[in-house]
Amino acid sequence: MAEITLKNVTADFPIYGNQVSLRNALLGRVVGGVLRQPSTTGNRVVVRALDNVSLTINHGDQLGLIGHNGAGKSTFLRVLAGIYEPSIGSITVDGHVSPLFNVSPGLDIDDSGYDNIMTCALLLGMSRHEIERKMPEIAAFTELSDYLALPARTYSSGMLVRLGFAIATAIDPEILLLDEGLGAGDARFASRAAKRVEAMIERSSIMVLASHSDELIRQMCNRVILLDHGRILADGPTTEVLDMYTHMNKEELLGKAQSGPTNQAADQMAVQPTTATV
Amino acid sequence: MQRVIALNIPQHSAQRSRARIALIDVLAGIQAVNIWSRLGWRDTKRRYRRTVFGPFWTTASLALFVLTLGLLWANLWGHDPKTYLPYLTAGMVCWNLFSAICTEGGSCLIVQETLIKQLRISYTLLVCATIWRNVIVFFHNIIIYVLVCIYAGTSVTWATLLFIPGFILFCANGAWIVGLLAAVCTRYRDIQQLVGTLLQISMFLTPILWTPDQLKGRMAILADLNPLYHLMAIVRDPLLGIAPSPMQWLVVLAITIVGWAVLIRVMIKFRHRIVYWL
Repeated sequence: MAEITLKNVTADFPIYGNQVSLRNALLGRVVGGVLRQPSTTGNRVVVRALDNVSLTINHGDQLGLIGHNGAGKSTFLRVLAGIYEPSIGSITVDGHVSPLFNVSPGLDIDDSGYDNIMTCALLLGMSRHEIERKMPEIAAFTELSDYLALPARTYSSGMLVRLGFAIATAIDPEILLLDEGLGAGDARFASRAAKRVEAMIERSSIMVLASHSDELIRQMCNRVILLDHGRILADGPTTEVLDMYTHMNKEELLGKAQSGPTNQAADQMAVQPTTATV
Repeated sequence: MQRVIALNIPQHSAQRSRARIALIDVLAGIQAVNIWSRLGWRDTKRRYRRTVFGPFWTTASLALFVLTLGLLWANLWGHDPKTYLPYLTAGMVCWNLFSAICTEGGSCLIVQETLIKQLRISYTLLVCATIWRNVIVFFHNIIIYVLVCIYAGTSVTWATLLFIPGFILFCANGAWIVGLLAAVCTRYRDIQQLVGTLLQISMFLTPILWTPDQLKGRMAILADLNPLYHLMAIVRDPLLGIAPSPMQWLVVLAITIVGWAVLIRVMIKFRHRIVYWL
């Protein structure tokens, strides 16, 4: 049984500007150590992308993530994927995670289509044997036929999307993480693509999808989480949370119309100086 | 589940098991030979594309350097070109590998930022790919040495076989150096420039252009105290048909163990932070 448990997960992103580098670390050490100016030692501006998130995702959950830009959706997915480890708190994942944030991680436009299928699929965690077995099916789905022997730089952008898409959707995910769904090229391909994604989701035990499209969420998810400034505002059945979100947006629009641009600051991420461990 | 473990570092309760994750990163990264060799070859193939000589251009410029300066210095210092040229060539071929590893090591995670932020990938795997790519270049360059040997009549002896363990040990050292530089340079971007400067100086301070027995008086310890000298020696001496002294093997072995211990320590402490530094 696949399961994900998050306990008080916080993710802080330290901000390294152009100036923050070795010099500051050295100066910080010298100044902080010798002259004792505590203010320069450890305080650094961090962006808190996730703030004390606790939650359990169960077997069979098809979880939608909604929220404004910068609400923490992508970070949340990347924490689930194990790319970012939480700064505070802990996460336990039972099951094999397949993140698909971009259709073609590791795609090299100088390599042939076949070579790219092999490399990308290896990077996505498939074994060589598994790829060889799936190769004909992947190749057929791309509809690129002879082009697969040519370098990917000769492909049109639509063809590249098809290639990446065919590779990415060939995995057998246990826990599937999707960011904004997967782009699918022209209209005819899009309908085949939709079927393939559905089939992949059916093979998975848990699916987490971050999206701005209410329609997509309604179609694919049985549970929705509304994120705002890195916190969970709502967690529940799809329609309920989506309705709440729509309602909230309307109110905010009205509020904005009355109070002018002052509210905009709240839309941006919460930037707060905190002591970061670096 | 049959999966390539390299990319699927288990994720159970991140907070407590950071050390475990770091160790798995290292072990699984080294084990994923099929992936890092593929990435390394791909980079090499890219250099061959649309050029006639590909990586041999590096070889050609190295050959030109060794031939012209080798003959000049042999004359200046009154060496016999037939002993000095093989010495210089073997030294330069090894040094080229070392300096390329150090230069590329600092950026090996930075250039793979997109990959790292999309997949749960072993950083050690990317380190191995960097080493492998440069090892391939090394075996291109070794052709100059073979040609020089034919000219100089350097004979192959049993000691030549020591090249194999020597080279493996050399690469093992390269790996911890790349790993450390990758982590440090991702956090402090200045270090990369510093490494370039240090490399330049070390090339002149290490016996590559000159032989240790040319040092007179108290300066003689300059060679023996230089770890790079011993590191070079365990590859260069077998190439020249000489067995490195047991002392040199011991020194290099010690450096390897200490280096790897430091790398593993750094990985345990900072692996989870590296992605935040990108």
